[in-house]
This record gives sequence, structure tokens and C-alpha cells, in this order.
Amino acid sequence: MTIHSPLFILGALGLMSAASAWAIDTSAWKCESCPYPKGLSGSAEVGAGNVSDRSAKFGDYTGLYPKGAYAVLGGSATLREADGTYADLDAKDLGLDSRSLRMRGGREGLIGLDLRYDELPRYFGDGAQTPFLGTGGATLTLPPGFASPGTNTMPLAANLRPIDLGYTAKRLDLTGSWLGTDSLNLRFGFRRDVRDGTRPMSGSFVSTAAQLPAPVDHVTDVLELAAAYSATQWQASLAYQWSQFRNGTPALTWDNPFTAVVPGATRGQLALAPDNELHQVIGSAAYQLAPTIRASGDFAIGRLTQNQPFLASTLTAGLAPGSLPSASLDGRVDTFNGSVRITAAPLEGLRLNASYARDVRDNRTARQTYPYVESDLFSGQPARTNTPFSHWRDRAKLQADYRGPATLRLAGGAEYEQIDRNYTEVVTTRETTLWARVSLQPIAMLGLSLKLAHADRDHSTYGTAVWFGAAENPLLRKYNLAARLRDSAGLRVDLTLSETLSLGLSADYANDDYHRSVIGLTGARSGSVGVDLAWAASENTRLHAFAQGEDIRSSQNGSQAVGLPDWTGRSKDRFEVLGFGLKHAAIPDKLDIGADLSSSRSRSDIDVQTVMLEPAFPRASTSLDRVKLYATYKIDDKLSVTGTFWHETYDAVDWRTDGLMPATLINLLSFGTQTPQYRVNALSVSLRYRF
Amino acid sequence: MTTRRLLLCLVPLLFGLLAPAASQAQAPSTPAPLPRADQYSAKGADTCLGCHDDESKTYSASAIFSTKHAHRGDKRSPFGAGGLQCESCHGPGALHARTKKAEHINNFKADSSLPLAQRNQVCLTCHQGSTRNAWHAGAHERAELACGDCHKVHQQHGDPVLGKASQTQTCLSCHNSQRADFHKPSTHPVLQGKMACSDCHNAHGSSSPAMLVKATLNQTCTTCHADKRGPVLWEHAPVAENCASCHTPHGSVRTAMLTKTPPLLCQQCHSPASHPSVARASSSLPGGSAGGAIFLVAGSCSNCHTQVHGSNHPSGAKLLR
Repeated sequence: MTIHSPLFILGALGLMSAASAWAIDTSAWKCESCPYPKGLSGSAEVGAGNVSDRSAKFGDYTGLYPKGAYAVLGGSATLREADGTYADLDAKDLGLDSRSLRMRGGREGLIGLDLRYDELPRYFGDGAQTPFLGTGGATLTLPPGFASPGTNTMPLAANLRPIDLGYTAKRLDLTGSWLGTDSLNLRFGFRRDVRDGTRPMSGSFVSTAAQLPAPVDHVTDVLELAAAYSATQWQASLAYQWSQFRNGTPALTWDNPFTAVVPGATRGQLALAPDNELHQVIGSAAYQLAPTIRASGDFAIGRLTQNQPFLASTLTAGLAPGSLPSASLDGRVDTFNGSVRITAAPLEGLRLNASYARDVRDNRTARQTYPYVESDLFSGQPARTNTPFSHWRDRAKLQADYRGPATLRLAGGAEYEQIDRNYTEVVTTRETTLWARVSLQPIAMLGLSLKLAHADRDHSTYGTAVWFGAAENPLLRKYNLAARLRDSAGLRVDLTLSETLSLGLSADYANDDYHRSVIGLTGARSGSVGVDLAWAASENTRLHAFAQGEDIRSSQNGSQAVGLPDWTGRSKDRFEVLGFGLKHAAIPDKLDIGADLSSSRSRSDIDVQTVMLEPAFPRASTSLDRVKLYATYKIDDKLSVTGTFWHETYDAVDWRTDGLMPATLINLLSFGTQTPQYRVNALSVSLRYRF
Repeated sequence: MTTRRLLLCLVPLLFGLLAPAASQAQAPSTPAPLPRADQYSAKGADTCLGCHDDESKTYSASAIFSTKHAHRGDKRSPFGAGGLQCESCHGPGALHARTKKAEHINNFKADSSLPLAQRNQVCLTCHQGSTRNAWHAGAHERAELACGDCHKVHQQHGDPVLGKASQTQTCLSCHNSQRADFHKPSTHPVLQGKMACSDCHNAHGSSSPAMLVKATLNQTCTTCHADKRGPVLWEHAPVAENCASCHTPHGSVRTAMLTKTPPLLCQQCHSPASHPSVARASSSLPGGSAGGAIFLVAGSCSNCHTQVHGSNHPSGAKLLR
């Protein structure tokens, strides 16, 4: 054995801690030239930007909304003390609703604190109008005398007013860790999510409906305590998590904008998401059974509860549906998740991998019978009994990887999944998947990989489950329960054209055949091709480009006669995207420039055919062209200026919303929000000062 | 015998038979000798920085000193008390210091002196356990990814793959299909840098399909969407079982990341007598001859069945309240 053999080096590395203690005298290793950061350093960024036009879709997630000027504020700071005390600060986009802030601090090797604050803006379209008063609150009212038989006779002109639909999600996340020993880490985390604003919703009175600005007033707290232990041969961790969701507005009441078809049915009430609470204990462990055999497993035991007081069955006076069986649900779901995995390398080049997992959602909520009122209009008969859904999922996998002669690699596996359920048409579904993959590199510059898979899902007797009244068509097979044959193939070609230029090609195909479904989804097929290129043109210039196209189709049958199929529905989605990116040091250490360009197109076609010859639906389509340019010029060692330009052009056509104004349909009072179309430029210039 | 039973029997049998062989197959017949002291550099990091300083034409190592790997106060760090500094990870460097040849050091690249598994083992020596317990059985390990394919530890401003905005570039450089999905009109805020792949996926392996951070897809989704987790009085069965029955989380060409346009989406599972079974063709669009446009436009079915994620209203059995 030479002293440079991999085995020798592995031994050296694997035993480095021992080596450092036994063999290596590091007393002369002073690290005098080590450039440790000292004291306070960082940067501050100040600038201004402008958004050329108002677009809720452009501003969604980005915070670049509405149009107009905004401040560019950000920066970072780092403090390092000789005693190991440290602190870091990072701030980004403080002038926007997408701002984020992170602060870290602690003592090296002892304790660490990490505080993050993040905002995410959501906007749900431009041009929404509503006659309802009280937007954002628990009660939406209408002016006296507003209610009319149809939208065409409502006094909309005098009462419609624009509203902004959206909310801001704010997240505060605090994590602390104690690193007191070599082997044991303790960690706690607390996270608070606050969502405040509005979102679109609907409320109906059977034959009429209105779009409503529903309040979003959510607070979710998560507390986690965790301990992790790590030894040479085994590792383990244990955590407890508590999470509570609270809804400050658990119900939405709205005035019926339509003339009540039942005396007194002038208001409706929707239950919004109820408060809930989760407790979960999570454990994980891994053990090195032998040099080439490793096992690991994990579990999570949880309890989810909900006991929000029930709303009244109806607000309509004069309807007496009877008393509820309880004042609240006292709902409880017990969950269990467990898994074990083992891997072994029994022979040179062969690896085996086996795993088993079980997931249980056991809904322990009591079944009770509830008198009900249909849409605040009629006492429903018969009374309904809730169906607390539970399921038990088992998954087993066996996989093998073989590194054959030369560059040949073979892999294959078998997977089995069984799901048992209650209260559904199918008690048990079972799916077996077989797959194989071959990879090889026939020449140094060419890599090929092909994967084939076949899955067969079957089920126990398809029965009848009546949840909401009328029985389903007995020929219906719900697609998540139906028997299915799934075949897929994936091909990947990697070309290394030079040390600096690589090209990848990929093609994927999948076909789902619901071969025993007469009504419902009968088939689905998808195909995609892609190409990507990466080129390091020089030490200062890097480019990448990609293109991807996909085609997804599905077909389904329906029956208006609740018997054999008498109509078909076909959907076809196509999507293409092109992208290009450039990073270039135009003047090394002085001027960096970059660009990200993308262009995407989608088209959705739907064709529903009955015994009558029906024209296809108008095509729904989107097109998005995006250009991002940026440049940073270093004025001196401390000062730099950055400019960014972001352009987007978005066009969309969608028959679901195009031309749909508040009074377009006589029985639907809509917001009138139109399909987004925009052309927006966002320009910013900022100075960054380093200290 | 069912396939399940067959699998459950085969697995322990197979591993039981192979375990003795495994313990001998690749285990060194003799313990690897400890490196001799003279195989290490004379002055540790000072030796390395003699070449790999800021002026280095081959590689500047100075950025590591801004990272956790160079925390002097942390005895677990390579630069902590008694640590072997650069040679903790790169291995004994005396020969490399003399010859300056790349093949005489573990540079963590494809042309390293160490094969991939051993390079990864260097990292796992310290970073095993916790969220990496399942690495040994994960898809990335089986695809023979090197830690260095994703992680860049010599970065002054931190490992890019640990940053929310920068992580995406690393993941999507291989996951091309997901890269295309994130360019679709309806997605999570990944390309905007407000959400990272690791918010949902554990790249180091996990027990769930698609290596999710939680044991199931629904538990992963309700990490953020806690308002949907219930339980509620009237549950919608697919919601309780699998969010992906209706939503495609990486992106969709239609709103709310739906897999299909309603009412066809809903009619895949609902076809009783009355309105759910009625064909809603283009003649039902506003102004069309068939009427029933309310079943097609705006929210379609959810214009009335607004509580598709379940209702806690006593009269919400049909998800209308």
C-alpha cells in the first residue's frame, strides 16, 4: 500500500479526531495567516426604484405593487469578537411588502440564536368591485333595498366600489441551539405566522351566488423542542412539536343580495377555518450495523384536535331544524408515521436498499347526526351523519443498484403501497410498481440514462358511499380509488462537449390507463422534452440556457342519465418555456453584469361532447416574457452602485373570467375581476456602502 | 401470498443472508493505519495559505474563515482547539504542499484523490445524524451525488444552497421538469426567492415519497396551510388523504395550482343524479344556448360549494356553508 492510496487517506480522514489526539503535534499550527474576520463589518444599501404600472399578478409574491416609487433598503452586518461571540444581520427588500430580515448571534460552539422575519404579499387580481360593506370584517352588509331577483335589477351602479383583495403573510421565526457537548445538541424553535387581509370566496343560496371578500385573520404558532445525539456508530434525535392555528374571524355573515326565495332568508353565514391544535412527538435514529450495512428509522406520533363552538344551523328565522347533538365537534385525529430503512453493500458494486413505512390518520371524532338547513333556505331531510375519514397507508420498497463493468450501472426496484380507508367506496387500494434504470457512458463525453416503470393499482370491491344525498352513478370510479395501469419512461442524455460546455437532453413520457372506469377519469397521458446548456465561456463569463415543452392530456366520461356514458370531456394542456442566463465580469473586480430571460406559453383546450355536436371551449392561454438585467459597478473598495431592470409582459385569455362583470350572469354577483394582462417595468438603482 | 407479504418476507431474508457477506465484503481486512505525523503539513493552515491566499491563481481558501467551519471557539470545527484545520477535511497535505499537484490532495472535486463515497464520508464524519439520518437510503445518495455537487463551503457569504433565494438555482439545475413548472402561471413563490425547495423537501432523504420534510404530503402542506388541516365536521375525503388529488404543487397553467379546470376536475369524482352529472359544454358559457353558466365561470363548482377543503358548519354537509 502506498501512502497515497484512497484506503489510507480514508483511514486518515475517518480517524482524524483520533489522529489529532494521538499522532499529530499541532502546537506549531498557529494559523497566523488565517484571515479571520474581526470586529464589525458589513454593508448598507440605499436606493430607489419605480414600478411603471399597477398589476396585482406582477406584485403577487414580489411586493412590487402598486405602481410608483419604492425605497431600496437593505444591508448586512457581521460582528466577530476574539472570544467567539458573533452576530450577523441580513436585511433585504425593506422598502417592499416582501421584506425579510435575519439576525443571528451567539457564542461559537456554545449557543446560537437565529431570528428571521419575513413578509409575503398576496394579491388576488385587479379590478374587483363589490357592493358589500364591511370588507375585511365578519359581517358583510348591503344598503337597504339592494336585494333584487337578479343582478340585472340590482342597484349596482350606485353601490359597486373597488376593493383590493389580498393579504400579507408575516412570519417570525426564532431558533435557538445549545451546542454544549461534542455529541449532544439541544434546539428550540418558535414560529408565528400571521395572515391578515382578505381573499375571494363565494356564498350561495342554492340557485344564486355572490363572490365575497372573506376576511383572513389567521395566527399559527409552532413551538418545537428537540434534542439530537450523535455518536460514531449511531445517531438519534427526539423532538416535540406543538402547533396552534387560531382564526380571529371564524365565521362570515353576508346579506343576501338576491331577493329571498324563502321568507327571512336575507342573510347567510359561512364557517371559516376553525381553530385547531397539533401535538406531535418525532423521533429518528440511525445505526451502522456493519461497515457496509446501515439502518435508520423514524416515527411521529401526533394528535390533532379541534373544538370550535358550532355556528347556528341557520340565521333564517322560522326554520327549526332541531337542536345540534353537541355544542362543538370535539374533533380528534390521531396520527402515526413510522418507517425503517436498511442499506447494504454485500458485494463489490452492489447495493441493496429496503424500506417500510406506515402512515396512519385515525380520525377519532365521534359520529353524530346533525339536523341541517340547506343554504339557509330549507330544513334538510334526512339529518346528516358526519363521516370522520381515516386511512392507513403501508409502503414497502426493495431496490438494488449495481455498478457493472466499465461505466454500466443498473438499478431496479419493486414498490408496494396499500391504503385502507373507511367511509369511502373502496376500502382498500393496492399498487405495485416495478422499475428499472440503466445508465452508461459509452464514451467519455456521453452519458445515457433510461428509466422504465410500470405500476398496477387495484382495489377491493367498489361499493357505494353516500355522503351528501344522492347516490353516485354506480359506474363511476373515482380516479384516486380506481384501478389504474401506469407506465412511464424517462431518457436523459448528457453531453460534455468540452471542459466548459455541457449539454443535456431529456424526454419523459407517462400514461395512466383507468382501464376499469366507465364513468370518471378514463385516461391521462403526459410527455415532455427538454434541453439545457451550460457554458463557462471564460473565467469571467458564464451562460446557461434551457428549453422545455410538455403536453398533458386526459379524458373522462360522464352520464347525465346516471347510467352509461353520454358525454365525454377531453383536456389538453401544453406548455413551453425558454430560458437564458448570463453572468459576466465585464471589468474584472469592477463591473459585473448579468441577465435572466425567460419566455413561456401555455394553452389549455377543453372539449366536452354530448349527443349534440358542441364546439370546443375557447382556448385558455397565457404568455409571459420576462427580462431581468442587473449590473454592479464597484466605485472603490467601499462603494458600489447596482442597477436592476425587470420587465414582464403577461397576456392571458381565460373563458372563466374574460368579460365576466358583476352583472354578466343574472344569478352570480361576481367581482368582475378580469384575466390579468400587464406590461410592467421595474427599475431600481442603489448604492451599497461596505464598512 | 400477496405481493406485500412477499416483499415483507423477502427483505429480511435477503438482508439476513447477505449481512455476513456484507460485513466482510468491503471492510478493510486490516485496520487502516493512522496517518503518520510527517504526512501532515508543517504548519497546518499557514502552510496551505502560503499558496491558497487571496492572490492564489489556483484557489483562494480565505473565504472559509467567514464560515462556521472556521469557528475557533467551536471544538467540533476543523479550526477549533486541536482541530486539523484545512487537513481535517482535505486530508494530510504534506505531499501536496511539496509537489503542488492536485492529485495529491482531496479537493472534493471529481478529480479528487478520493472516490465519491469517501469524499462524502469526510462530510458525514461530522454531519451525520438528525435530518441526515436517512441519507444512506435517499435518492440523492443512490444517484451518487457528492456533497460538493450542492454545497459550497468556501463561500464568504455562506453556502448558497442554504439560502432561500439561491438554493433554487442549485436544485433546478438538475430538476428540469420542476424548473419548467415554476415558470407556469400558478406556482408557489419559489422563483421569487420567498420559498425554498427545502421548505418541502429534505434533500438528504426521508421516509416519505419525494423526500418530503414531513412524513406525508398533507403534513408537509399543512406546515404552512394550517387552516386546512382540520379536523372539521364535514370532511372532503381527498383533502384528508392527499392534497395532490387536486393540486400540483410545483406549478400549473390554471389558478390555485389545480390539476384540471373545474367542473371537469370535480366531475371526475362526482356524478350523481342532478347537476353534478350534467355535461357543461361550451354552449353553457355566458350568452350560450344551454344556460347554466354559473357552473362554468368564476369559481365553477366552488361558486356554491365554496368549502371544498371541508366545513365546520352544522349545515355544511354539502360544503355549501
